[in-house]
Amino acid sequence: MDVLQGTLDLMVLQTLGSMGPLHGYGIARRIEQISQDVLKLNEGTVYASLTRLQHEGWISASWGISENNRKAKFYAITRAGRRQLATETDNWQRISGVIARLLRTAEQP
Amino acid sequence: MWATLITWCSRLGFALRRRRLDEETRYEIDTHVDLLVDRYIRSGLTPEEAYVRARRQFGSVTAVRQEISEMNGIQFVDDLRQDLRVAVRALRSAPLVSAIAIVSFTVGIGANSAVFSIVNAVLLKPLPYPDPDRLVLLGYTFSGAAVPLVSETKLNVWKDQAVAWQDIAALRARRVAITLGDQAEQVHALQTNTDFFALFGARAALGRVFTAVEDRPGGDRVVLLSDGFWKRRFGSDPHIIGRSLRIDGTTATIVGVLDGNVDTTIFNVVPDVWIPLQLDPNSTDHPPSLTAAARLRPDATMALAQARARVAGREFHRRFPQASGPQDTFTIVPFQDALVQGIRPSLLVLVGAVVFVLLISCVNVANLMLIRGSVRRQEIAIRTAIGATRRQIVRQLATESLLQAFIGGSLGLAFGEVGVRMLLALNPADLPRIGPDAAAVTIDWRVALFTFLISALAGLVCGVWPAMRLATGDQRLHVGSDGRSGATTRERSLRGLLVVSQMALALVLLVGATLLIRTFVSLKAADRGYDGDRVLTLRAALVDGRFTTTSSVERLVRTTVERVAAIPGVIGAAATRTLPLESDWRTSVSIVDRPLNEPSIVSYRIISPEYFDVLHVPIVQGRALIDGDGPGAPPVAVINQAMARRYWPDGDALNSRLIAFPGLVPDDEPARDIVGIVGNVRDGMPLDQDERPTVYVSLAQLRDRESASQAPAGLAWIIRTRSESAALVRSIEREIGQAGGNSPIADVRSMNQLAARAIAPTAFSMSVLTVFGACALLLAVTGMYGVSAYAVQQRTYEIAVRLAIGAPSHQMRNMVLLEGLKLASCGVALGIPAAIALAGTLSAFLFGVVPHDVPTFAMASLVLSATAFAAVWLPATRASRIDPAKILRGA
Repeated sequence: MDVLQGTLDLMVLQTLGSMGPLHGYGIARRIEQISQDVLKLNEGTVYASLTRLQHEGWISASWGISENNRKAKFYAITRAGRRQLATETDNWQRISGVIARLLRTAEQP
Repeated sequence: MWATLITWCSRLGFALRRRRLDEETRYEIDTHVDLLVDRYIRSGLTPEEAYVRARRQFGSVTAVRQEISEMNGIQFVDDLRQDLRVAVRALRSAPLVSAIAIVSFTVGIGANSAVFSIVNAVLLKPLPYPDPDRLVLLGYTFSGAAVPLVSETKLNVWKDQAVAWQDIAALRARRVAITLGDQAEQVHALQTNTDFFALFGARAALGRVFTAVEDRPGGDRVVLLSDGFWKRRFGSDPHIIGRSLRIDGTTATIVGVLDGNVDTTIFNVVPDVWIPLQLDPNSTDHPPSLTAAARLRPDATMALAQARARVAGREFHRRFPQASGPQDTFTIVPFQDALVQGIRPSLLVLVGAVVFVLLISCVNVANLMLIRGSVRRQEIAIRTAIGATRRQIVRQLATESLLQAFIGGSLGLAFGEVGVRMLLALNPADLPRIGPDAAAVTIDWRVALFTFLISALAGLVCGVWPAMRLATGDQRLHVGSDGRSGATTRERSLRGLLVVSQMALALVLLVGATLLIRTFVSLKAADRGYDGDRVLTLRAALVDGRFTTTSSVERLVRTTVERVAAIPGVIGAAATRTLPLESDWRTSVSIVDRPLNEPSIVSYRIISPEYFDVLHVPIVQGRALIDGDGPGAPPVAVINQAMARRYWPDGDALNSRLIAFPGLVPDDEPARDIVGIVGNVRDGMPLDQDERPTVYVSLAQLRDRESASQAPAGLAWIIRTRSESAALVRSIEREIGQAGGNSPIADVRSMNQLAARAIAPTAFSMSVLTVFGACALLLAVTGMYGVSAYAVQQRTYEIAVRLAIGAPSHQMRNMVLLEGLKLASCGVALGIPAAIALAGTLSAFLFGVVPHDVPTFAMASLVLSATAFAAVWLPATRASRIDPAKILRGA
């Protein structure tokens, strides 16, 4: 299953929201772990997503040292990002609820 | 709104840090891929397999980096940078064509920014006074003519009726003799009232300005120094206040030094000293001798002020029924309009002409772009083939022409500025508001913005249109072409059309320039009615109070004439109150026992009897004024032929009597016997087609009152000499100065210099239009050459074939020549009706030549055709020298 662009942004935001500051590789691993091979992700797109989120001001970036002693850029969710995450989660749940209901009614003859 | 702004700022932040961000992304991605590789190696894959796996899992590295980089940049800026890079490369690859385009733009835009900088200084810049929009000039109409001056009586009425205006400033420029120690000097003085300083925001840098008490009749004798005079004569002495100097023989106390920024150039005077006007509220002085301005009250509209002015006019007529007609009224004009009224038409002509220059230069560049474009068809086709959209191609080509336009625009701004300064240094043309040495004509933000805008406009017009044409159509046709066979017939005729329009535009300018040149020549050659060669003029002040009676002035004039005439090398000398070609007085006249139907405004000159003799003005009938026409003798006048013809068509002028200033002066002017008729002297506005009726009266036959009121103006002297040696001039100056009791001398000029000054505005328009005409010719020739040279280049193969099968080479040459001439004659054919239509607008500026002067049109057409012929000669010769063997074998 391919990942939609907007969905990826939400996933990255959610990951940072729940896990605290992470670097790009860490985010990719976390998404891999959560999705359990259901989603096929071109991991490069995570970086595009991170750039987009930075432009919106929802996450911030700073340099740090990773667990294996490499210099790495860590991304953290901002206050605006948390607000956005709440709204988006809300939206997502509402829409997925609507779609789920739609699909259920469609299945019934 | 705020959010958008903040987003944009942060976007800008990313764009600015873009290079570093790109580096960081690269590091992050590399690390990421490395970590993935490590992970797969650890899970047992070979390094190669691990690498392949990691790359697959990551996706395209380049694509991601590109995407992020683009996201961080700003699309518009990136495109611009890219387009500019390509544009610079394109310009460099065709240096000659680019240079011609840039030169065309430089000429077109430079001429425009130069003219605009004059228009800006004269018409657009706000006046340097507080609240300039509410300043108005006071005046009146007299027998239908608008007079921008007021008399003392009128000024008092203006003051009494001041409901719509306040701060009524009145001023009068005059010459005064300043005596400091034993040194006398004639300087410019401005007599002003106290309101002047408030109205024009003039402040004293040292001391104070006049008080209201000092401005009353009989007030203390005080004087303000100008900044320049203070520096020059007193070496910026800070303790000057309270000292005194002698002005026209009376002692006055220095109360202040005015700020150097006080701008009086609009009154055509740069005063050295300022003295109080001390206007008498009960004055009965009617001659209009004052310039008056006021500020509209904040709540008053222009319409209201004008209505109140009419009321004031009626009040004046009630108080002085003799001094104005029932139709005469008071007028109010916005100050800025009043200043530029006279000059606006001639500036508009320049603006019109310069727009033509711009058009021609734009056509030139558009043509070059088309020519270059057809050579670049192949490049464009390939770009299209590898995915460039039509929009991108157009944008690219437009960037190129914009780049050229901006380079040309900047050069033009610089050259235009230098050019306009040189022109104005040679000839300030009596332009108002340009300040001394045209200092006010500068590049300010308006000029810069204007240049930027027309550069952008010209660049776009010249770029977009040809680019649209080039980017249209099936590009596949051109991929394989060598760019030489590309021109279609349609394109060729389009280029021809452009050249034709250039020629037509150039013809219009040439006609305009030639008309003004002919005007200038006729003005110089015009019979002015006097002989101005080796005639010297100068002004002498009447220093002390001795010369306030007619008999004292008469004695002074007689002794001075004798002393000057005794100088070896002097033929004769005459005195006058007003110099010909410099100024004159106007008056109405009435004829005794014969009421006139038409308004009768005539020139009025007060002279000594030698005047006609010295200037070689012929006596046509009767006699000249003589020494015998003195204070006791019957009052007489001499008139000129124009006056005689106008008022005595039956030729019986000599038996009539006239009265000058009827009703305008308290004790009525005497009726004067007309004793002689002299030839007409063109001594007024040089462009006047008709000679002005003139009355001459003797200095010795004025009433004492008049002599007294004219004393401050001093006397002007006209001296005919045998040579123009400097030593002679010096001894004349000395003699006149001594005769007047050390009277200071100023404005020493030859009669011919006065004449040159009088035609300076025409000379200015002429030189500007001539420069424009030359530019137009040059540009049109370049265009013609370009088209023809390109045509030959395109047809090399065809010509080679023709030559190979036996066509004589001169036939090829003539073919090219003929084509060029065809274009030129089409241009002339189109240009002539356009020029006829536009020449009419010049008629007010012409003298001695009609707007539709046939020789002028013939001459301009001939010059244009000849130049066009010269322009195609080179390509034509090249066509005849083509070596068919070389070309055909090469192909």
